[in-house]
Amino acid sequence: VKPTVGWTALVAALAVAPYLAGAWTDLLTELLIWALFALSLDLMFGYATLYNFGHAAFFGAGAYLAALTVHHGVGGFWSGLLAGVLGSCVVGLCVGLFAARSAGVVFIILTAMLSYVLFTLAHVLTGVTGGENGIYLFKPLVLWGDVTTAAGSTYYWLVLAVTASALALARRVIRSPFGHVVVAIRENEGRTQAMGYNTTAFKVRITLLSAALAGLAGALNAFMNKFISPEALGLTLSTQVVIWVLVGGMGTLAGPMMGAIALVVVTDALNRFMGGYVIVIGALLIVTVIFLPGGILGLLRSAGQRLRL
Amino acid sequence: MDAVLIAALNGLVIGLTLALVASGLALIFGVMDIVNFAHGDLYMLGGYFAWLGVTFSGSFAIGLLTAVVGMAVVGTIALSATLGPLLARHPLHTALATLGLGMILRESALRIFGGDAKVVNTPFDAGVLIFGLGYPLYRLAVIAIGVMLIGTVWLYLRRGRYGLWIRAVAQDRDMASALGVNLPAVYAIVFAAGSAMAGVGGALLAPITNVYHTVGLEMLLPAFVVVVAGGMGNLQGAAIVSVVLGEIESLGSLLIKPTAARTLSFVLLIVLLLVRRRGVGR
Repeated sequence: VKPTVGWTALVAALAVAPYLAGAWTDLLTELLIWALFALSLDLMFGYATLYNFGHAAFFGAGAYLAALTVHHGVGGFWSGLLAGVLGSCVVGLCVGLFAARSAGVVFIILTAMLSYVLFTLAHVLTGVTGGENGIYLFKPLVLWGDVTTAAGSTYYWLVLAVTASALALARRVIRSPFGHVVVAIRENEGRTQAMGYNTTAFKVRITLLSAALAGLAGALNAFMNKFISPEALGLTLSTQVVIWVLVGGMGTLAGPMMGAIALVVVTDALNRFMGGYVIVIGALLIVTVIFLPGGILGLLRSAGQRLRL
Repeated sequence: MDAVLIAALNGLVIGLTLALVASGLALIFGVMDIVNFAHGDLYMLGGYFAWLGVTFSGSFAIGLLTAVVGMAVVGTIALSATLGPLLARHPLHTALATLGLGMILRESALRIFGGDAKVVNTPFDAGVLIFGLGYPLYRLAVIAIGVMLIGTVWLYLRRGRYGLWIRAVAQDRDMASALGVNLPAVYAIVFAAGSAMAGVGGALLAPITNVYHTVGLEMLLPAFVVVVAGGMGNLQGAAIVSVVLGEIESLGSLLIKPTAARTLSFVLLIVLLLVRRRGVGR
């Protein structure tokens, strides 16, 4: 079976899901948004060795800009989405500067600091962001004609289309000549530089793509929840998405998306039935790092190879 | 003027405790290339150990001792168990494993000690008159103990036998090992010393901030920032930046909200790190 056939079947299955899911459709929408968010981090984390520990800065910037645009009546759904993506790209330029000027642990700490600083700013600048209380978007937004965001399954299809296109785009980019250079930087940056590539420019561009997709996820999330608060920018979410990417399998695009979906479901179930999830996720993280550096997808792939033999 | 002096002293209390915690972090990073995301939680456990010691004995000195010994033992066991299988791996892997360890320690503390903040009584309530203003004697003691401990660690690294070995391993692990330095012993000592330094920091601040299971998270990022800005793994640089950060936060709080003051100091440090990439220590 060619991967493309598998993907088409998966998207088709997901497209009819709302008819079966009923009231659970909103949960599916949320899972797809988290998957998109994890995908965007994998571009930096798994392909460019840019260990971004403040990825929520993009997500939150997108969410706030989108929410503010609608809240102040500057625009509707689509202009809000655009504002969100542009806003996260501005933060992306800042992280691109970090990528140009630092690497390794310093980059980790710089990105974490940025996430913390934006989180605190959202707390402190109550006049703009509403502070701790956040921003509520009471009215449903018009998507097209007389269809609004209040229609759960329409919004689900929209998010599905966006997420599937983002995955297709990311795969295309990684397989393009541009992507090959990014992977070459991951494998040996010095040698790639010696071959005449301006590695900094490639790192900045992949950071911007990652920021744009994360901001899109943030904006979609804000419109779904009709609410945004500083947590969307903070270190808790930043760490969570790192864990999703790692457990799913970094550098595989589809793996982190699966990781996000699996861990959100598991976390939710543990919360409901065991009254806490932190120990289990912590232990899962350690076990994954020690025994399965390839993550869930790495495990599935090696199992698949063994079955074929 | 008095308010400025009091704020400056408070800044010294924050800065020196941060320097202690960050020195432990810098030691573990400098010697083993491990980014210890569980360090804030070791700091938190130090506070709980101090609370246990003080509650059962009534003496703060015993509480402090409990924190040092308890954290040296618990920290070494926790870090070796998690990181033992990962020593030859990429630093990202050890960093992520300590992230998991921190989650486990934090949640365990919540389950064992409960969600309410534990109050550790100040060992002496007396105040000292400085320019006619009362200042708690305990805070001055924290400043003195902080300076003493950092000085001791620094001297031991310069003059002690294991200090020499630790510096040798930090410089060139393979060469040190080939020349007969006992690597596992050095690693165990670094884990023990690093955890004890986090623990003693948690114990010293416990009477000021109280102890709760997420108290370490507020310490983790500043400690990392200080280590990075001080020049990765450089103890002196980390100590200097800690005190500067503590003073900016404390003096800044006279004019703006404390969280805003911390954010401001972070923004300044981000700019500093982008301009001067190797930090201020070198």
